[in-house]
Parts: sequence; C-alpha cells; structure tokens
Amino acid sequence: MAKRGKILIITLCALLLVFSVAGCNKTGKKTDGTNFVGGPDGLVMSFVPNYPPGKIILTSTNEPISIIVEVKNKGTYPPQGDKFSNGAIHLSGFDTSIISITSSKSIPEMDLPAVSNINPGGTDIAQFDGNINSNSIVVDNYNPTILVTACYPYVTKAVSTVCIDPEPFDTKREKVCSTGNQNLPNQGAPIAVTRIEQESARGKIYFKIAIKNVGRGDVLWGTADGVAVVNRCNPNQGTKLERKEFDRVKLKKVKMGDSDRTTNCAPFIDGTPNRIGLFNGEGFVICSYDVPSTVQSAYTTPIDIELEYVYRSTISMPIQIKSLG
Amino acid sequence: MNKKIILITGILLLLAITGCNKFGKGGQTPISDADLRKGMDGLKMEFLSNAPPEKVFAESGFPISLKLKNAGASDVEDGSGIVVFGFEKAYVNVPQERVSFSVKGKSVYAPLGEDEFITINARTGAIGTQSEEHPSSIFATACYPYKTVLGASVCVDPDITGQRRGQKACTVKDLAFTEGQGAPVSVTKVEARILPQDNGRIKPHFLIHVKNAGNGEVIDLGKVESVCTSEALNYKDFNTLVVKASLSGVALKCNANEESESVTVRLRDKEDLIRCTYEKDDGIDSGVDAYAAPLKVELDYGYTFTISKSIIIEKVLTH
Repeated sequence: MAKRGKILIITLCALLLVFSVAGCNKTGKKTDGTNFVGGPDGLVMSFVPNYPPGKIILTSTNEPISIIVEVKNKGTYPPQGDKFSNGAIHLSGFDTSIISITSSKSIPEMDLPAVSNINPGGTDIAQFDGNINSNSIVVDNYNPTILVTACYPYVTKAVSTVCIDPEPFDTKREKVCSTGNQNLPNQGAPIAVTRIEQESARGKIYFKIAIKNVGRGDVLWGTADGVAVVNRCNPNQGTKLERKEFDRVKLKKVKMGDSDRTTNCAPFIDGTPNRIGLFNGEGFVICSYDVPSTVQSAYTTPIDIELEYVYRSTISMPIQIKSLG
Repeated sequence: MNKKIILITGILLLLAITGCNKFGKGGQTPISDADLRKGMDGLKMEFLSNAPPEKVFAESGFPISLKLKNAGASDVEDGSGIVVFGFEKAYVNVPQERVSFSVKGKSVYAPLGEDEFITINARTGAIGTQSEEHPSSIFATACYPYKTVLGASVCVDPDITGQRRGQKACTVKDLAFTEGQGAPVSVTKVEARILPQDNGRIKPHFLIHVKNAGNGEVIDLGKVESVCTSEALNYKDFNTLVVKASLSGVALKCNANEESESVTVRLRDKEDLIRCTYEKDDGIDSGVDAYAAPLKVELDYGYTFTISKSIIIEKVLTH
C-alpha cells in the first residue's frame, strides 16, 4: 500500500515537472524581430459573432440587420505609411428586395497597415447596416447564405540571394558560393514565390522562378490600382469576370543587384510582356542573366522579385430569417 | 480507504449534477423553431366515445358528438366548414343534419391546432316487430375549404453552365418535401431550372409536384357546400385545385395561355405537375451572382372526407 502511494506521488511530481517545463518554455519564448516570416494570407475576413445572428425573428416591418466583418491584414502590403489604393468588400447571396443593405465598403477607407517586424498587421471592421423588409418575405422561413467577398490589389515582394558564377563548371577553384536551387518561405502575401531554380551556362544564368497561389482565394489580373477588375468583382454589379481574367499575375520586377531583368523573362501569356499564367494555382517564369565578362569569380547578389495582382477571397454564413406570422 | 470512497462519491455527485442540468434543458424547443407547416393532416374528425353509444334503445334519444381537430396549418374560418350527418332515416331521426363550423389551425400560439366540438341530439325510431335489435350506422361527412402553403428558399443562379469561378451562395437543385406542409394536399417536390434567354437574362422555371396525401377527396373550392348537400355534382368538381406561385414576391406564370396569376389544375391518380416561370421584366439579369430567393406556392381547394360509427338499436323488451 505504501509502495503504491510512493509511485503515485512520483508520477504526480513527474507530471508537474513536465507541465512546468512546457509552460516555462512557452512564456520564456521571445520573439526575435529579425526572424519575421510572412504567412500565406493577404486580407483575412471573419464575421463578428452575432453580426449577423444565425437566426433572425421578424418583429417589425423593417427589421434592422447588421453584418460586421473583421478584416485583418496578415500580409506585407501596402508599404509602411501607405494605404490600399483600391479594393472593396461586397455582400451578396441574398434577395435584395428582402434585405436592403449597403452592399459595398471601400478598402482604402480602412486602416489596414501591413505586417512588419514591429506591427502584427492592421485590423479594422467593415460594418454593413440595413433592413429586412418583412413584407417581401412571403414565406415563413427564408434561409439565405450571406457571402462577403473582398477584392483588392496586392503585391508580393520576395527577396533572396543567388550565386553568380562566371565559371559554373570549374569545380577546382574555391568559390564563395555555388549555383543551386532554393525554396523560399511565404512572403506575407497570398501569391508566393515558392522556389528559385538556377541553371548555369557559360556567361549566362537562368533563373526559374516558381510562384503559387498559397492563399484561400482567387487571383485576378490587375495592377496596383486595380480599378477595372476590382469594380467588376462586385457580385451585384451585373458584369461578369471572364475566365481569362483569373489566374494571371503581373511580373512587376525582377532585379539582380542593380540590374533590372524584367525584360529578360519569359514565358508570358495573352501576348503580354509581363503576364504570368497560373495552372492549378501554380506558374513560373524564367529569367536570364548575362554574366559580365569582367566578372572573374563567383559572388552572391540579392534577387528582388515583385508580383502584382488582384486577389479575391470570400467568406460565407448561412442565416435563417423567420416570420412568426 | 475512506478518502477513496469520499472521492468517488464526490465525482459521482458532480456527474449527477451536471447530468441533471443537461437533462433539464432537453426537450425544450424554441418557439420560433416549431414547424407548423408540417404533416399531411388537415381537419381530423372523430366521434366521442359513447356519442353515439354502441347500443341505443329504440324510440329514445341519444347524443352524437364529434370532435373536430384542425391539425393542419390553415384556418377554417367564418363557418365555412360543414358537417353533414348521414343515417337510416327509417330508424334514426336527427333534427339538424347539417352543422357549420370554424376551427383554427396550427399557429405559434396553438402549435397543435385548435379543437371544435359538435353535439346534436338524435332520436331512434321503432324497429320491426319481429326484431329485437337493428344494426345501423351514423355517418359524418366534413366539407371544408383549405389551403396548402409551401415556403422555401430556392437558388437563383444565372451561371447555368458553372463557368464562374469562386464560391457561390447557393446552387440550383431540386427540392423534395416528404413531410408535407400541414395540409392534406402537399407539394412533394419542386424541380428548379434556370432558362437562359437571348437578351442576356435568365428565367427561373419550376416544376411543382402536388399530391393529395390525405384520406379524403379534393373538391373544387366553389363546391364545398354542394358536396355536403344532395346537389348534383359533376366529375370536374372533384380533384380540382387552384395553384398560385411567386418568387421573391413576384407572381410566376403557371399557365401558358392565360394572363391570370393562378391556374386551375386537376389531379390524376391524386397527383399532378405544374410548370411555373418567372416572366417579370423578361427575366432576371444574368450578370448577378447566385442568391437565395423565397418561393411560395399556394394551393386552394376544398376537401371532404367521411367517418362512420356502427350502432345497434335495441328494442326495449318488456317481458
């Protein structure tokens, strides 16, 4: 009996020790500002609980309804001090003769600074107020699904280091770097540069830049102001988005050191000089770099890639509108 | 050892308390969740026990009592319901063969529907001198106007071929209604179609299946009174109902020839199918995204059914 008691006490002590160690580890963890790595999101939306409520019982002719969406910028765009140049959040999915509500909110009016080492990203709310016209609900139960669609321009900036080796096949010389492939972490944007593959020839290096839609929405062709496509993102507008407007990303810049290589990249689609097509959410572009003849030994240089696009993401919530007659 | 017992007892007590709390909440349905338009019953009618009694003496009075329960979701108002009694006139005499009634259906305040009682005093006549008893039957036939209302949220998706990218609020699909709408005639299925038009618009189109799922007969709404009298009836007076449908409050066109919002249909083998189309403004703009719209289908008709009870008229034997 005494032996059993001892075992019990030892087990309890061991458990306490495990918990305290785990706890210490968690509280003792410090965030290193320099180790900031972005996630796969741009703007992330969520419904504020009870706005709208899951069930609305009509008590008056014009029952008020509020839909509040919390918007977080979990990405690294726009640059510090800037605001979104364009973009909107739209409501849809319901019969507009029943729910009269302001169906769009402008994103530039919201305070959504990007994530940085010192800022966890901006959070703002989009509030839509309106009325349910109970006279228009001719049935006892009306069950629409409220869709909230955000459409906004975004920019992905990926920076890495590549090796420029004028003699890639000379393995006898000691070099500071060697050409090779590298995987990149997410860049705090829904479109990410996932990998840079290097292929060297004498006096020329090819970079295959792989990009991927790592977010939860659709990518659309558009520039940073993105006016045209953002306006047509409005589900209530009546103009359809064409298939060929989806899965297109603009290669805005590829820079190696001081040399802009954007014009040395291919392939592009739709007969454009900068439009990368995504297939199943993935695409690539190959850029070349002519190694100057004056370069005698290998060296590392930063590669700076910028992609521009319009991103569309949607959240939904089914609601039940009941009339007690 | 004692500590162990106390610990176990404590845990059990805790479990019991939390369990009780949970059970206490069970079975409570919010008022607004009561689904009134459910079931395939309209009016229910039954003789009360011993009214009429199974055995009655000849040349004596006896009560006939009916309990009418409106188990459906529509009201029978303003005395528009009629009960007519049937009997062997040679043996039973009923002073009031026809009684009008009103009875309200299910509502939030009376989720089971309301009841109405009809009592009349009948009198038996003499039976044959050679007989000690005479078997007979009392019939009660109810005729009443009734209404079936189906309310559903249907999807209006102009993207018929599914070419649009992104999440949709809903998808167009057929809806089956197996539990009825709180009326003897029910809409069993609504097939939804979206018809593309040349002018960049779409027309929602619905195939509405209706069925007499009750235990009586559907009668023309205008013939409710006639059916419960000895008036001559035409075969067209049976299985006839009026259908009206709307989408987002806009009346659908359910008849290709007439401009009227409603259409009269005849049930064949207790069933029929009605086609209704959204015609307002030549349809709906095909540029809008999918949305849920309220579809309302109303069926107006009369309904009749009969119940009976057997009685034995006994002679009072004096020797």
